Formats: sequence, structure tokens, C-alpha cells
Amino acid sequence: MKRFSLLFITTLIVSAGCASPSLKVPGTPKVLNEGSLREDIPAKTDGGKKDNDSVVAQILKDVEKLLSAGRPEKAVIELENAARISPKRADIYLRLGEIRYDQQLCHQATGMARKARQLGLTTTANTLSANHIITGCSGR
Amino acid sequence: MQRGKKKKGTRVRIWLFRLFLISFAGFASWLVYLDLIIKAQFEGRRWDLPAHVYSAHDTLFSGAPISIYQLEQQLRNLGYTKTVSPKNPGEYKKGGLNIDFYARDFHFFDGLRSGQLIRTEFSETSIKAVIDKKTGKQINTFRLEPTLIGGIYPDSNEDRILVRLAETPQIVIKALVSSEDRGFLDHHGVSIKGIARALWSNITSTSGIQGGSTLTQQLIKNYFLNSERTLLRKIKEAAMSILLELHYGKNEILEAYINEVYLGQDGSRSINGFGLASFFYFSRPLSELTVAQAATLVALVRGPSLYNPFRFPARAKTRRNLILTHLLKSGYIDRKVFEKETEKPLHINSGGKHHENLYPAFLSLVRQQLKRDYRSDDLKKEGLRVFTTIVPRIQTIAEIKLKQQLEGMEKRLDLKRGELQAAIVITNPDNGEVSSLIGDRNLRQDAFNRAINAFRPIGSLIKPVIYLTALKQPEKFNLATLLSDEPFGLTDENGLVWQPQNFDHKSRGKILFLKGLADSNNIASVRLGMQLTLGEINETLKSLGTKKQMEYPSALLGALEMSPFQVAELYQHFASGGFSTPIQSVLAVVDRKNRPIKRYPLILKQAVDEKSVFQLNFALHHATVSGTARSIGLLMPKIEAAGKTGTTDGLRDSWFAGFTGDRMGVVWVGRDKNEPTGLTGATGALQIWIDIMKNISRLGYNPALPENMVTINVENNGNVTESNCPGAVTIPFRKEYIRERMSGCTQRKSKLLKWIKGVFE
Repeated sequence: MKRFSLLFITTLIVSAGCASPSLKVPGTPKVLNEGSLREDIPAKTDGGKKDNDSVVAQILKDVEKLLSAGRPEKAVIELENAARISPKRADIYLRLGEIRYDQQLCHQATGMARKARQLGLTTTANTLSANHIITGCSGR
Repeated sequence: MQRGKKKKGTRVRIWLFRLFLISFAGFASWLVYLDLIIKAQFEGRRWDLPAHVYSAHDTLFSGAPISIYQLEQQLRNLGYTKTVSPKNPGEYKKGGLNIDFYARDFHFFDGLRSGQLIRTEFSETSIKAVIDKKTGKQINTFRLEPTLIGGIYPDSNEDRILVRLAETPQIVIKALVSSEDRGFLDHHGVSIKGIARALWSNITSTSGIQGGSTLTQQLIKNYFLNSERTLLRKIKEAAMSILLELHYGKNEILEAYINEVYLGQDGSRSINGFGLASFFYFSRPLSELTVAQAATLVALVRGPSLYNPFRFPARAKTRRNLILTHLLKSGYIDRKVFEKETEKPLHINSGGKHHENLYPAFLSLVRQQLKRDYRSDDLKKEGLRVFTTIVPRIQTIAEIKLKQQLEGMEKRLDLKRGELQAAIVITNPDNGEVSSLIGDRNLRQDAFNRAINAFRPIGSLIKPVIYLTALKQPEKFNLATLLSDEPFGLTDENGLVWQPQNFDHKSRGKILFLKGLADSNNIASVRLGMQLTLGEINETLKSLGTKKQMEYPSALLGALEMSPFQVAELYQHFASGGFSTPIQSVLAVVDRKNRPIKRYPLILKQAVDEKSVFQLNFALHHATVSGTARSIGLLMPKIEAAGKTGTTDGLRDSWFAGFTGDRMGVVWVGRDKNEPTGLTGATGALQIWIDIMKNISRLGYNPALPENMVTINVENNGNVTESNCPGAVTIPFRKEYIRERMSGCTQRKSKLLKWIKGVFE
């Protein structure tokens, strides 16, 4: 008898749940946190991109000076060093791609631009630049 | 009669004169011949200079993950001396959470980095600030000079570091001249006074045998002749000395001597010249030697074995003090300095092997990669400087952890010590640079490099290639696709049936694609491979840069032989997010005058589309959470990783290949005789991998979800469900291929059904 009562109550509750307006409409998948692989551990939302920000920012400034002084290979070496310091910074790879593109080294430029896009470019200008390199090189 | 006698006498005189002319002509020709030899060999390049190989350098910057202890250790490895206050290059001071050091000048492959006084301030685990002590300003980045890790030697096995006379400290020259050849500036190659003095000293004195040879003669003997003690050799030596002095000035001769003289032996490598001897005995450049240290090196000239400071320290010290006495008597040092320097201990570099090949396995990789671009002779003779990628700190950790783990495993498995062998390759996933390479558990062995030359079946390490091939067909496969795990057999052309089995010999009906890889399911993987065809999988292998191809279905379970290095090349594609970047050990090569010859820049090429590799890596990550590599989740919870275990038949090979955000590593454990180890990939190689990675990796694997991908909850039956459904997994999907049917939570329903059933039973 006890079990039967429990079954009856459970049935009532389940029926109420089924009628609830909060139930997801079939066919609409629930989308979770798009940035995380494991929900129990807070993900590094930037995947390490912000590490050593100020150091890399200074390197990028130095790179511009080297390019203005007509020293692109030295600039590339500095950018490669920056990539060792902050390996997930998309703008480092983008800058490498831009330099290689200017040097007409498309096989190197394209790879850098794609890597930059994959790591996530944060500004429209950067995205456009990467796209320009990729499409420009495919035409060459 | 008298006329006859006169005629005879004249004839004799004529013949004597002719004999004299012939002898003179012969002697003159001989001198011309010797002169030609001297000019031919002494001009231009005078020595076969080995290529010197450097490690990667540390870059110091605010936030750099280098502790105060690590920096101090590195400075000591570089031969820096601890002092109260660093005033000269090569000195450092440690106080509180700061290290001040006076950096040396160093020629990197892209230019000279001048020496300067630097302060580094630390927090517990990293650098807080790098400051130029002269200006007080913070420096953005500072490159510490790399470690010299070995060389590529000429066939003679002579090693040397060339120094110019101008770079040689005066005290070294004075010690040399005052003890070996006081009349060096006055004689013309041979010193009659010196010979007489030596004869007299040897007869009357008990303070040791003195030689009568000048520095010029010693140079001739070492450079052109041998140590034969014959009259003819001595005459030749004297003649050549005079000829040498006719053609070349005292400075040139002295400089050649300083670079030629034999000063010790290190295994098969001979230590030649003061430049190298300074590093070998004192771990510092010649310019940084103290008076006592300079005297110690000069003391070796007379007998590097006899006065070997490692083996005969007392004798070496006595000889050193004799050199100091010569310096005092010649007025080059005063009594105060003499008394102070004679009291000093020898202060020999206790490792004694500063430029020995520290990492033979890595060096053999460097040689292999350089051979593509350089002739063997150039590598051995031109004095090239090679800048490589090895990170000594990481290499050391890998070596220590490997040793500990192997010994522990042998103990547990009741194996004799040394039975198990291993190979390790660790790279930077973003640029392919080799941070560490081990080819033998006997780390200094240069015999067989298992990392690059041991080809072993890779077992389940091949499975990601199968699953990747499938994911490249998103209309047919995704991580929630159900794969059949039903047993089956394949019949070959001889009628033999091959029935792949799961590790636990159980079958699970239908399993998620994700779990097929994460749990390393054999039956599902082979079924999937056969569905895709070996041809398609081979195309994937090709796109991943490997020449290995599958010929038979058994290759789907890894009956495919690869070296750990080849596995690293394969997995580099996964670790980098689908990019192909050559795994490299060399960054750049410059010539002996530091002029750039070749640089190996970063090259990236997208080999696999981003979404396919993201999903693959998701499954490889899942393996570390609840699959065959779940030890990672337990033992290394703070750093996310992804990877694959591999075990071959009979437990002969134990593999793990995996990566975090900043390191990719491949570990192999096995026995050279191919006997069973008793280890699976999870119990063997993986444990070594974890022990190394948790000490070297700082960035977890956590890539951003690509564009047009979402994450969805899926049950084990492949249906989309709610987030709180027991047993559901969260899986990334390409938006355009999302399954739309939502089924509720089967797990919860089935538990409820069971309860209801229980009511009526």
C-alpha cells in the first residue's frame, strides 16, 4: 500500500513536470558554456593569452621600430621570441604573417595568418588583415 | 814528383768543394721544403675547429616562470662565481629574493648582447623584475647566454676554443714566458742560452727537469712534428723554428701557441689551447681567470697528465706555485700577490667536464638535422657555432624523473635493474622546438639513440589517425556517432581469420565514437577503420607528414613500426591544433666570426582543418578524464592535457603521447630484447609522462571552441539530453550537423522504470 501511494504521488509530480512551461521544446539543443571543456574547473577564458601582456606589448613596439629601420629579419626573430613567451597570442602570429606577406613569402604568411585566426583575433582590423593574407596568397 | 803530389791535393780539394756544394744544395733544398710546409700549413686556417653547440637560452622578464634557485643554478652552470659584490663579468651575488649578476658579452646568432650588471627580483616561483643596475631602469627582456653543451669534433678529436692574443690576459702570457721561455722576445726561434741554462739547471737543481726548447720550438713540435726524441727530429725542429720566426712575428707565434698547446684529455676528446682549457678546468672564459688559475693552466704545459689537477691535486698545486715563483722572480707580480695566490686552493671545476657532450642523444639529432645542409667536413673543421632548442632545465627534469620511475617499475615488476629501456621526446607544441630528448636510460651513452633509431610497433597510438579520418567526414561522423563494438572476424587471402579483441575481452554493443577513442576500444576502432578503408586512413597519415602507410588491417591496432621521434612528428599536428610545423633541434648556425650562415625560422602550415582536430583533441582530452589516461586527471589535476596510451601485444611496448598547452611529449618504455615488460601504456610510459609534465608544464590544454561549433549533452546511446542527466557527456558539435532530437534522460527513465517494476513484483 505504501509503495502504491508513493507511486501515485510520483506520477502526479512527473505529470506536473511534463506540463511545466520550462521544459525545453524538442528539437532545440541546449547550448552550454562555449569556452569550457570541463565545467567543474573554471576554464582559463583566454587560454593563457593574457600572460605576460606588458612584456609582449613592448616587444611588439620594438618590432615596429625594427621594421621602420628596415630590419625585418630581426623583427621576425623578436616575434618568434615573443611567441615563446606568450604562445597563445594571436596578434604575434598575425604580425609574423604580415611581415612574411610583405616579403612575398606566402607559404609562411598563410600559415601564420591561419594560426592567428585559430587562436582568436579580437579586432575587426586584425581579422580583416588575416583574411587578406589568406586570400591574397591563394591568388598568388 | 812534387808536381804529382800538388795535382793530387788539388783534385782532393776540388772533390771536397764539389761535395760541399752538393751537401749545401741538398741542405738548402731541405730548408726550402720545410719552408714550404710551414707557409702552406701556417697561413690561413691553421686548425680544424669543431663546431660548438649551444642550448636554448633563458629569457629573463617580469613574469618569467624561473625561480631564484633555477637562475642561480643556471649561472653556476655557466661558470659564474659567487661574490660579495659582482664587479666583473662572470660574477653574481644572491641576497634575499634578488640575484645581481654581471652578464658577460655574448654573441648570439642575431648579434652581440653586451655584458652588463643586472638585478633580478623574484617572487616565490617567478621573476618579478629585471633591472639594469647602471641606470636603475627596468628591462623588458634580457637574454642569458646559453650553455655550451658539446661539439662536433674533427677526426683528430681535438677540441679548442680559439682566442686572439688581444683577448688573452697578460698574466697568462707572462706566466708562459717566464716559466717556459724567458728569452722569447730576444731569440730567433732557438735559444742557445736557454739550452745552456736548462742543461745547467738539470745538473744542479732538484726542482724539476727544465726543457731547453723555446715556445717556438714547442709550437713546431706540436703543430708539425711528433714527440720522438731523436737527433734528426730535434734538428728539424730547430730549423723549422728559425724559418717560422723568419716569416712570422712574435705575436702571431705566441697566439698560435696559446691555441695549439695540448692541456689535457677528456675521454677521447683532447683539450687544446688555453681558451678551451679555461672552460674545462674552471668553467669560465680565459679573460676571467685569477692569477692562480692562470698559473695552474701554464703549469699543465710541461705535462697535462703529470700535473693533472683532478688526479694529482697536490702535485698540480706545487707546480702552480713554481709558476707563481717564476712570475715573482721576473717581476710580473709582487710579493703580496704572490703570497695571496700561493695560498689559494686549486678551485678546479668539480664537474670537470664542462664541455663534454652533455646530451648525446640530442646532439646526434642535431648532427642528423645539420647533415641536410652542411658537409661533414664543414661541421667538423670550420668552427661553426650552432644554436639549438634544448632547454637544459627541462632535460634535467626529464632525466631525473625517468631514472626514478624506471627504477620504481623494475622493483615492482621484480626486474633486474637496467632491464627496462626508454626514450623521450618533448617539444613545444606551437613551434616544434625540441626541449628535451632522451635516447637511452644511460644518459651519457652515445651508442644507440632509441628516440630516433628504435622502430617499435606503436599499438593504439595509431587510433587518433583513424578517428581523425572519420571526423573529416562530418556528414557521417561526429563524437556522438554510435560505433559497433560487436565481435567480428576478418578473413585474409589465405583463409586465416583475424578476430580483434578488446583489452578486457568484453563487448559493449554500441558505444559512442568519443568513448571508442578515449577508452581505446579495439573492436570499434577496427570496424571504423575498415568502414573508412585503409586507403583513406593512409591519406590522413600522408597529410600528417608521415611516410608510414597501413598495408594490413592489423595496422589499425598499431602493427606499424615508428620511432618515438616519428610519433612526436605525428602528434605535433594534434598538439598544435592541426598545424604542421617541422620538429627542429637547430635554430641557427653562424661561422667562427659570428657571421650568420643559416637560420631556421618558424614555419606553420595548416595540415588538418581546425574543427576536425578540435573534436579529435576533445576525445584525447576525454581519455585523460575518464579513459585510459585518466591518471592524468588524478595526478595532474591543475593542468589539462590530452593524449593517447599505447600498448602492444604481450605488453612489449608501453607508449604514451600527449600534450598540454605548452608541452608535447612522447614516452616509450620497453626492453631491447623485445621481451614483455609487464607494463601497459597507462602503467608505464604514462606515469613517466605525468611525472615530467607536472614539473615542466604551466599551461593547460584549453583551446577556444572554433567558430560555428557548440557544445551539447549526449547520452551513451547517442541521444541529445539535458545537462543533469546521469552519465551524459558534453560534446562539441559542428552547428550545421547538430542532431535535433532530444530524448529526455534515458538513464533517469530507466531507473524509474526499475523502481516501478519493483512495486509490482
